[in-house]
Amino acid sequence: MARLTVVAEERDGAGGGEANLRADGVTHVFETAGGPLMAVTDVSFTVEEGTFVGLVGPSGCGKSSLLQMMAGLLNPTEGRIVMGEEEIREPRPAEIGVVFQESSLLPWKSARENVEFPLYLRGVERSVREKKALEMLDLVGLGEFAERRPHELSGGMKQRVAIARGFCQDPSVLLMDEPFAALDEQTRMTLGDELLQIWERHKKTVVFVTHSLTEAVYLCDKVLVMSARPGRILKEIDIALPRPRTYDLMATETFGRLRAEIWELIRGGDRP
Amino acid sequence: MTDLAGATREAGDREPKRPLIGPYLLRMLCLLAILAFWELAPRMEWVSPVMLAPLSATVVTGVSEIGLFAGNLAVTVGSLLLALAIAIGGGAVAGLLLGGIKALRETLLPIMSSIYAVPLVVVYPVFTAWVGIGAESKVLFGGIYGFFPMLLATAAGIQTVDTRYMIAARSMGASRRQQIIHIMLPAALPSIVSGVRIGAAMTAIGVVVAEMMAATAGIGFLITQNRTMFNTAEVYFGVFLVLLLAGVIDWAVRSLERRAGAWYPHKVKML
Repeated sequence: MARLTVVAEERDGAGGGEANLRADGVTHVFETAGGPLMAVTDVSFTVEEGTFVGLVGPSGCGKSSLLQMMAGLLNPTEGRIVMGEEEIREPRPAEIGVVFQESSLLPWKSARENVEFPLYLRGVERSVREKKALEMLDLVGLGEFAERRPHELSGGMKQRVAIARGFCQDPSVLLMDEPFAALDEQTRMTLGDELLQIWERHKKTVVFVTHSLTEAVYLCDKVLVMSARPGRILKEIDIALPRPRTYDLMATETFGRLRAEIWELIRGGDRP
Repeated sequence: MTDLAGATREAGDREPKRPLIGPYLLRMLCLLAILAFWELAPRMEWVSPVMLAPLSATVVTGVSEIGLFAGNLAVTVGSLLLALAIAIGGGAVAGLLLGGIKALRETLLPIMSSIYAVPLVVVYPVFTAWVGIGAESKVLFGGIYGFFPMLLATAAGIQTVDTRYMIAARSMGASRRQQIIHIMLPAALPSIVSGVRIGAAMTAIGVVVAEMMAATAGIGFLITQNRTMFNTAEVYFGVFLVLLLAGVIDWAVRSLERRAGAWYPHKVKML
């Protein structure tokens, strides 16, 4: 509790960016049939506005729970998630969008209808949302596939649609929960590159949960490394690599060193 | 494994083997054989004409008494439509409530499944004692007969909606009402449609069986009445009309499934 006050004072002092997303001493405990299960414990970090931040850690370390809390889909048992000055307790579709693992696309809707769905929910006029959705599908290279249903698209295409939906919602923060986890490595690399290109243009704040250390280093400005359950933040690693990122960076010594550092942390954190 | 794969490929390379007669033709031939048997068996005295009236006699009798049959068919169809409204409409509403509301689901759903397992025919006499043997009893009985499968299928569909869709919709700001209309209902549609298929068939069975057991009019009533008088041809014409009715229901459900299938690909399975 003492910690919370300290953080609060810091906030008052520093002011910070309008859309900084912060976790202040966040703990989440699930009530399960087998008793309480601590998913994450005392997690604090700041995601600066406009940055691309990775969240990595061993399986089941509470990355997804943390992301859901940032999305307002789940509330912390202790501590709080704050965006700018406001605490996040429920979804805020206008400010925070989520791109999920595998396809959360609605199978009975076409790619276009899926992409415009968040706008529809907000009551945006038909012609406006259609135009915007087609624009976003063009952005991810799927303009021709606008009227296809998800089952007619490949895994990579589906995730492109999901990303287009996230951008169509036009939030200032985009939370991505292992969006490329179900894809093969080549598709995953291509999509990562495309995501970066879109991001460079739209400069949203991105929190990107991933299993892939290479992906984390390649995409992010900063990587938060989490321990095994109950998840804690072991270290925040700044990725001091130039942008725009290119494939040849992967062969550099810095890239290898950063990747190795994250791996060491995860492996070490896994030990009892 | 490699050998097998190779063999398959070779077989595939050859001129594809065409069956001597196509499945459609074969089906028609089977039907023709059954019709021929229907005509010949009683005529040749393979079976007693009291057991089975020849096809021609059945048709002639049916046509000569077409007014009587049409009148009773209309009674059956009318009762069936009302019963379907109870079964499908009531079952859908009850299924949505029981599937969607946790308290109701936990208390009532197990009871509903138990009732579904009971052969309700045994309580039909009680029914007639309550509401008489007019149209009300068979409408009510047929309706209740189809109500339970419809309810259970709908509730199951609502319960098994993929939570990923719900979470995604929530993150996009869907209100509770929007979640129900845009996620739960469409996601449950395949299950609801299969509920309609089973529910409609059960309702038809319920209505006809009710007519056969105790009623004052309807095809089922006509069948029973003529059977007690050994009017075999009339009995078979009645049976033929029931089959026709079943065929129409099947056709209607199939076109519903096709619509649902076009709208929700690969999840709607034809039974």
